[in-house]
Amino acid sequence: MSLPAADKVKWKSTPDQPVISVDNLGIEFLTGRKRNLSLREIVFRRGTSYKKETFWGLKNISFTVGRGEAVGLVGSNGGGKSTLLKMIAGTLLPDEGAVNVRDGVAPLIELTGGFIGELSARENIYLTGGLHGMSKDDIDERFDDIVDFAGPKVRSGLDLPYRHFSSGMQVRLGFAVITCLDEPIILVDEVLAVGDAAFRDKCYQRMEGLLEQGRTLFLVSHSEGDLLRFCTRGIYLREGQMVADGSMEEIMQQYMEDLLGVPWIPPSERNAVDALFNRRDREAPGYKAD
Amino acid sequence: MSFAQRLRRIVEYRAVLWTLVKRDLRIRYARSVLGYLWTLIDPLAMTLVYWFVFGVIYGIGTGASAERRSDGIPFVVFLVAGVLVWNWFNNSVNETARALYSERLLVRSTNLPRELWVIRVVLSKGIEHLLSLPILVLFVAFFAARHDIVLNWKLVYWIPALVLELVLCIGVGLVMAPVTALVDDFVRIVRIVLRIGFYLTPIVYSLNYLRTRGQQPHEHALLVIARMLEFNPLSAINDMYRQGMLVRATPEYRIWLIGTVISFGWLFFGMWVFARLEKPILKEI
Repeated sequence: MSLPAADKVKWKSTPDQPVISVDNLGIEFLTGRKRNLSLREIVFRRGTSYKKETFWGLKNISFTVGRGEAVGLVGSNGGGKSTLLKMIAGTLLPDEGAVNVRDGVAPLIELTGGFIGELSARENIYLTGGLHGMSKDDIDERFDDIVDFAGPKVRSGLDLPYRHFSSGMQVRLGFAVITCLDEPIILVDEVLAVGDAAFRDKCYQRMEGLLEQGRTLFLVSHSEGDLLRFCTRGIYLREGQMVADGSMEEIMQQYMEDLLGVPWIPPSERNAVDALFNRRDREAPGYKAD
Repeated sequence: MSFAQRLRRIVEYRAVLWTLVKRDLRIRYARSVLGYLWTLIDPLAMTLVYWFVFGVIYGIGTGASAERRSDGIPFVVFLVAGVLVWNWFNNSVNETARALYSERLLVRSTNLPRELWVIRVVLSKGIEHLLSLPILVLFVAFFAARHDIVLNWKLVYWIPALVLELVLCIGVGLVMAPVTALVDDFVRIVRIVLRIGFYLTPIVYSLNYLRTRGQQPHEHALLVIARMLEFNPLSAINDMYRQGMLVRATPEYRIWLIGTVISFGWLFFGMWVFARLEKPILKEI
């Protein structure tokens, strides 16, 4: 498996500049009246001032991320993790404050969104690559890598309509295309755990490879393992507010203890703790080994 | 973002725009058996229907007033040119209305200038329009061979006609896409307006005919209608489009000017509406 080369990563910022800076970010959502807005209200907002039922999906969020940092976003459902990720990706716009992303973004969000069922896998690779700014030559060069990564089943079905692929295969192809991009920032929304165990392993290796090249990672996940494996820094969001920003382990501890209400033991210490309890059990009076 | 910044971003992403247009065309032709033929059959069938109703049944193009009713060229040719122009507009408006919503997965996951989703529809419909031109060429060739039509240098006005229609379609589309993404009912309204619009555009009749009939006593209403139709930018586009075939009619420069102003007006209005509605749409889709 070959990765896109490190020197191809297209940085636009200088190494000492923050890659992402988020400044007092806020976004307000309407509740209750989904897809039924009054036009007047939106176009001529100044003229009318009446109560709207809204809530702030995110409020007062500020942080900066430098080159090569790997940030994990944690928080319970509805905490604003995906919203924040989308705002960094530029697919949601802030109502308050600003997001400044100085480099290109490879979004591992809605992986299969760009694929068309009627077209062949080959055409889809070219189209999706093109949509993310790759030229035809770039894709030609990486085509084999992409297909290799997606697996032999994808290779044998390259000229079949994409919809004939199983959903697992579809996601694999999506993952393969997006991780081939040269963009310095990688945004991941819960899509690391795709496919079977073998493919997941490949995904992990690729992510690690990308991180070694010094790319910046933003990971939204509920998987403790993924977060601790990749991220060095954690940001904890609760109900749209930023609760904490620190090392991944600290943040994980705070989040888990908040969420579950019991002390959290990092996985690295878990075996030791298990062994300890085991020994105590054995030493307890009346213990029978079976 | 200011207007200039928005425009610069759109220009910056033109390569992606072409990818999107190619994608649209591939999808359109990948699915159907007849593929390209549909691009020809559709406007041809429409033309034949209108020709049958108005040409055969009502006898437009025959008799004393034939000359004025279709600006002095055979009615079918007059009709086919109008229908092709209309088809591009009609398809663009219908498709741009769904442009953002139908591609919401992509809109949500890629940070492209959102205007591209609209422009791509107009461009791919424009290419389909060009691909459907063989119909017009065939009709023109047929009647030119019989000396019913004499082509002239004013054929070059065909190019500004296309440009103007492109501008108009993008402008209208930039209004359609965000509004329908927010208000579902809008699609239905648009469909009705388009149906009415077909008859409020000089496609099956000519403006000159309305004006001459309006001169007669008790028919002044037609004059008023003709006046109103001058403000339909498609009147100008149609007139430019047909110039190369018309010999006796002089170009209506005044209408062209009005049409140009209104088309660009739509473009700026569209960009304004789009910029205004971008934030709420992204939250909704």
